[in-house]
Amino acid sequence: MSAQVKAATHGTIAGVPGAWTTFRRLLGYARPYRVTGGLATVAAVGVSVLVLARPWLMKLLVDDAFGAGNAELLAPVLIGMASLETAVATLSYAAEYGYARVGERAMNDLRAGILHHTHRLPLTSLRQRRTGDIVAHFTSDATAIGGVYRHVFAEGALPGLRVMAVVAIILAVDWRFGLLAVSLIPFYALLPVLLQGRVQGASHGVQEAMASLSALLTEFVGGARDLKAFNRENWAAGRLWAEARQLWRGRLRLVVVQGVAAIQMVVYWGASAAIWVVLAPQAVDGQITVGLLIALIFYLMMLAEPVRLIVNSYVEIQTALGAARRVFAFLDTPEEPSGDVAASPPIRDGEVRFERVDFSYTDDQPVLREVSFHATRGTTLAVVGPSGAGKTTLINLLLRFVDPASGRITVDGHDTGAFDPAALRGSFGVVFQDPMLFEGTIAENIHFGREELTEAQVERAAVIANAHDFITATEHGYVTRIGERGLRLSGGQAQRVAIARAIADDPRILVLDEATSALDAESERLAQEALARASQGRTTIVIAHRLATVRRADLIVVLDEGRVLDTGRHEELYARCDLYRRLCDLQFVQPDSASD
Amino acid sequence: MSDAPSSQSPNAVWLLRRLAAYLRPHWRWQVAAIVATVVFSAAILVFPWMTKILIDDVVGVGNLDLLGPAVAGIVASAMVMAAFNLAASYLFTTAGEQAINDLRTQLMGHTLRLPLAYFRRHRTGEVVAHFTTDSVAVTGVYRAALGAAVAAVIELTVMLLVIAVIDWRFVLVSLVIVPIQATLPALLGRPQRRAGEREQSALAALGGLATEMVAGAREIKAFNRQGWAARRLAVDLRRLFSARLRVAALQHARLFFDVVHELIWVAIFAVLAGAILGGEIEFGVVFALAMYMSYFVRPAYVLMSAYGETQHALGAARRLFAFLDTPAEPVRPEAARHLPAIRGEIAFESVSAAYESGAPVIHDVSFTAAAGRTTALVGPSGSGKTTIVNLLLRFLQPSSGRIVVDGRDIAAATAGEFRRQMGVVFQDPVLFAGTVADNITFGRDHISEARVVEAATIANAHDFITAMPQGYETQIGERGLRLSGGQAQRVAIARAIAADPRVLILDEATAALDAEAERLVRAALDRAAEDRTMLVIAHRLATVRGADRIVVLDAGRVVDTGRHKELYGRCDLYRELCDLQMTPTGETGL
Repeated sequence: MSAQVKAATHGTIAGVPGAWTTFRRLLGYARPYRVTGGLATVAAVGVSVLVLARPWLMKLLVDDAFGAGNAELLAPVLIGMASLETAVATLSYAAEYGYARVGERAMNDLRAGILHHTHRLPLTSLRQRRTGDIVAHFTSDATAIGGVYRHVFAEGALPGLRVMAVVAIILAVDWRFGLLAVSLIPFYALLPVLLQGRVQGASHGVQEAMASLSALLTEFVGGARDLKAFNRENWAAGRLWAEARQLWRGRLRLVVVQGVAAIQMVVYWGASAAIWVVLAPQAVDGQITVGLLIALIFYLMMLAEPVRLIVNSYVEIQTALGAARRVFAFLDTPEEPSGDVAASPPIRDGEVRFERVDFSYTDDQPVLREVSFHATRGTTLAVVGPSGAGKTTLINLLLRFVDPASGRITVDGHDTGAFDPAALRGSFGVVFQDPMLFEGTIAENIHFGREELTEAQVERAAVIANAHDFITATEHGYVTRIGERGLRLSGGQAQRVAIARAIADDPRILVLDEATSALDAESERLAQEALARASQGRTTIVIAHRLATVRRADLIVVLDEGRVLDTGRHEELYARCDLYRRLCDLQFVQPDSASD
Repeated sequence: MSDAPSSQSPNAVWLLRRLAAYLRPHWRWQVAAIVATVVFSAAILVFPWMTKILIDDVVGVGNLDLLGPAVAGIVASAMVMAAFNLAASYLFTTAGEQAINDLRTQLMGHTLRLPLAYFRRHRTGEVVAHFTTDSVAVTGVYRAALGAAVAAVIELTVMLLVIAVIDWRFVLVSLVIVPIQATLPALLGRPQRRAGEREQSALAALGGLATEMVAGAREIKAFNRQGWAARRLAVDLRRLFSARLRVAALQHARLFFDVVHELIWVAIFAVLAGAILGGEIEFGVVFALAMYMSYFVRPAYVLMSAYGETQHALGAARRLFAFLDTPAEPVRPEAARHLPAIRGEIAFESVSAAYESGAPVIHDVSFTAAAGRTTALVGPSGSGKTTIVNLLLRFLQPSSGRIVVDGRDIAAATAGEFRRQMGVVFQDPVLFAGTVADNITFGRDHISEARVVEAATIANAHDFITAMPQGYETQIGERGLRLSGGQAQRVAIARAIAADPRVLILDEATAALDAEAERLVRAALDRAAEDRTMLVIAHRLATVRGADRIVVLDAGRVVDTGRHKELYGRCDLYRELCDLQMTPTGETGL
């Protein structure tokens, strides 16, 4: 088993918290639900105690009722047996349900914590991770951890106690039988220990084969057009067939391992045969009664189930702890500093100033060097430069996704370092180059959960963003669902919804990273209009990729290799700045001239 | 769910017969599996009787000579059980998996031959489910209806016989108890399956939401919407909580069925108490009888769950067969002849076409693309440019008129053979998980390594490929390196020209790129165009200005054809398209 257990708990390298530390932290999540957990544990203890009475009732029935011919004893014993079983079932159910409740509640708290943490992580740290890994913390990891309370208490600790109680009872009858009981335990444990990990490994293999078949198929269905256009259908079928074969092999392997695990039956029956061999002569000699013999057999057989459970729970607990370690490692990555919300000064004018700002993501490569500029209230400032000049970093600094190495950034004269990042961001409107919209209606996307926004404001923002007309032309208007399960917006439409979202709460400062890709002539016109209207009456900082945008800007900052090369208006810069002229001629997305 | 072949859904017998056909080639495995199950069931019957011998004859009578044989019987029967249990599941799985593998192979062939339009109407997940969940569910028929159920009937019969030998009255009792015991757990089957489905969909929703919230972390931070995100998560978490609790509640409800099982023991002793006390029946016999009665539960339950499983499987089979029965592209038309190597002269002759059920998209379109020359299609969106590409690639058939390549109607050759001789670059090319070189050869074995490098060089991709850590062997796709749009586009161009096709089709191949990427891709395309027939669709008119011939389309009709200068002079629509894209002041023009 050890190999499998190690595999299940991969990540147990030096410096990783031990099982006990991790488990203590998991207990913390269950603490708010300790009453339910306590009741479940009481019920589980009750089950463990009650089942001990089962063989004893059997002995009473055999020896005292039937053996001694005492008919009066029959009814109480039989009723006792029936009530015992009903009580055991009820209490077991209560325990299982209770543990399930605690596990689910605790895991939902954990999930909420993961989301909270995700949104407090610095963006740079988030970018270093794959989305799928974090999503796995919500789904598979949390699900694996949720069972830990049940595994530890109901399947680990209590069966352990039950084994001890049974051994104690048998010892009390005769110490030699006690020895027999103790010697049976390793036999009961042998197969589960050998096979548990393998069964898990095999079923994991099946899941993986299934997942990779799905992935390949998803790829091929998504790329059906390309496959057909290149006449590669047979090649695709060959690759799929190979995957399907893996799945087939995996399922066979699982069946074999499960079948081998069924040999446990041989162990149980073999054990019962051994018990008979030892005890039958004693009964024949009259040293023990038939009823006691049967009771002893029952007790000895009762050891098997808890032993299996304990072995099983060991593997499950290791898996859960492995998942918990991954989740906790994620939760322990440092969050961005939060400032004092109350101390964050209000933003009224929207004056933005960069003062000799230096910045680098890694120590050796400066991205920005002594960048200074000043966007005065209500004007539009365009930042231009070749790719890699540091334009997006400016936005990241302004939104405090990163902080400057030296120099300072002020808004309305206040150093942004003094703001709580969340409070600061709340007073900006931002449109990213590739805006992400969320599942939901168009109205919800513009509203974006800001309760203070009215429907009228949402609609006004859409009108300003030139989105109102296309929205009302969709089937359900503002309540049309968009995203995966709904309508797919074109790039230009998504951009305009993003602009509406950014200006809906009338921010003092609008930050905009223009899309680089070409739109068709009509969408281009609509986007430019939207931008012009949206920037009215507020300070606008725009990373410009379009000629029409820089033409309209009040001030243009030309950035090259992290330095400000020149600032000015379009005409002056076009005349005096070589880089700017080159950018205008080559790189800006511009309507093509039809006259050569 | 896919549409069924007929308006009525096919009945169960029809489905079972069709499913059984897949099992027929592997019937030996299936029969062996049933035999193994019967042996396993027979071995189970040994244990209670040996227990009876131990209680009554060994201990009761004191005959220690029988101890050895009885104990040996228990151990031997246990071994037989374990061995045949393993054999049975191995054999059932082998038979079922072989049958399903045949079915999956057929599904694959079918999926890849489906017309492209099918994939537009159905979600990818739906098609994938046919291969995964539906196929797995269908194996249930082989294991349950055609396997375990048969074995269970045999097992039940044998047990009833044994009980009849002990006391025939208990056969009657069994006939009452068994159905009750079997039905109780089966009652849970449907709610459990439904709860399981609800749990899965709640988990999937959570995964989807989490993906969105992680991928959208930048906007959530920028707009300070953490509270909103948490509230949305809370809604999904509540759903998951209630779904999972319901699953747990139903799953553990089985505990109460064990009580029924124990109560039967108590009842048997209560009923026979008088007989035992009166010495009419031996205690061990009652013990064995009780054990047999409880053993009944298993085969009875197997029968019931086989019923449920079969229902479930037939549902999946219905979807699978409906999918298999959707018309696919013909493998080989009647008059298909081997298509000789084409030179690349393409002519559309009065072609009209419509997408299914819709109004015609192009009307009476005629034009010729001369071999070795570049022909451009321009027109406002919705004018039918992409439909022409779809027609040429035979993703769509003309409703009238014909498309002629080198003087031959393309409908005469198989679609596959025809497509093989074309190269195409889409606006959003799909690359596949694998190495860069794999993506350029695209499984075409005749393309040499040298040719791959040559194609990449022409496509302006060689330099960035060699700059990657493993060069041409770098893994790309989901689990590998992500290429930028411009890089992917250039790999797609290399893929398109690797087989040196006579005809190269570019469907808005540069529309999604930024200026720098577009410059590189455009240069690549100019090189790739050398002595090939090029058919170019672009809305950026600069791309097509140099074409040998420009076809102007509007609302599905050809408005005019000619070169840029002539068209600008005489065609209003073309001039309008050009002017819309013109700079108001000439200062930054090219």
